[in-house]
Amino acid sequence: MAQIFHPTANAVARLSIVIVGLVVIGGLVTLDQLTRAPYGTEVGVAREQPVPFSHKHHSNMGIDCRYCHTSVEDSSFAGIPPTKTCMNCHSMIFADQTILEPVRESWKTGESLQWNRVHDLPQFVYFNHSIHVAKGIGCSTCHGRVDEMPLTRKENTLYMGWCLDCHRAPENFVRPKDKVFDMAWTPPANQAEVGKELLKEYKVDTAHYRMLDCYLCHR
Amino acid sequence: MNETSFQPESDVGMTLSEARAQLAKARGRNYWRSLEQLASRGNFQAMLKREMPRQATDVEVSDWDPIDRRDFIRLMGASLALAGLTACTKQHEEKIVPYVKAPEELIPGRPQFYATAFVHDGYAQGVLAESHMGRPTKIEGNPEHPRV
Repeated sequence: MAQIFHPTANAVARLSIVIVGLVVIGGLVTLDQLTRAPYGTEVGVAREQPVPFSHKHHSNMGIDCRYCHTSVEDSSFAGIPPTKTCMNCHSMIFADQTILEPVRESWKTGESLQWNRVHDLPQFVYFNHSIHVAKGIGCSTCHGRVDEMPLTRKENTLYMGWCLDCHRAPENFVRPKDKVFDMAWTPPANQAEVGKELLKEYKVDTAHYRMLDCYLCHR
Repeated sequence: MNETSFQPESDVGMTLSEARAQLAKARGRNYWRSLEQLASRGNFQAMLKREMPRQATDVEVSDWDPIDRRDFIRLMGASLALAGLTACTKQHEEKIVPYVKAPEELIPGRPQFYATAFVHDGYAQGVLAESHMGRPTKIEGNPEHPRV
């Protein structure tokens, strides 16, 4: 190989080869960090919505998740409530608030409200809410304390690595079935043992060829 | 056809703007009828060749001049590297458009099945129709229909 530098090249010229290398590495690290930062993951970023709906306000009044997200136990999709569900109460309560004008407009015209999806999985991923709920994975495990969010935001990245954290060790996250919709549930001190018992009770096959099968989600 | 109106001004071929200018001058029946006809005029073909990358003309079957192995690997390597760049994009925002009044017994994300019938040779044929939020996706015979 021909020599890179002429014998008269000074230290600055020689150093430049190191600097170029560092710039390339620095650029790649920056890109990688950007994809892991809220800029890429959108964790904690509240999306603008037609109505600034507050999960905190509604769940603090004691409304169950399933009053609006009706199909969470039966379907892959948890369900976004029809305008009718809003109007059940808001035809009477706050019926003249300007903030709710889009809801009344939708009710009058029959045009749907258009919400901006906060939890958006890529199209090549299959996810089913009902099986997770049925096997003792609570809302707050993935969605965080939605009951403390004035505006809805993502609590977790929903990246594949994050999914696998649980699919590799579901005993750390599984909870009793009557606590699935309990937003304040925290794992007990002996979660590792309780979790294993619960998995056995729910007949969850934790074998890696099932829980980590590519086809489980990429079908 | 008035061929002269499409003669290029120089021997090196037309630029795209020259081609446009030529076409702008054309009136009535002097218009070209197909791109092939336009391309065969004057030096337009030469201009096209110059517009396209050199590598693209290398694979032309008419003048078979196989690319050597190194060029091929270089091209494929660049294509692969650039293909990765398409992943460097943010997921576009998606809308959720719920019902205003949800139909009864519909579970979003799950299909509904309707027992219905169509007329064949004057008789009703029982079928089951699969429906996703009102969109039929599959129709098959209904084995429990009395006519079967």
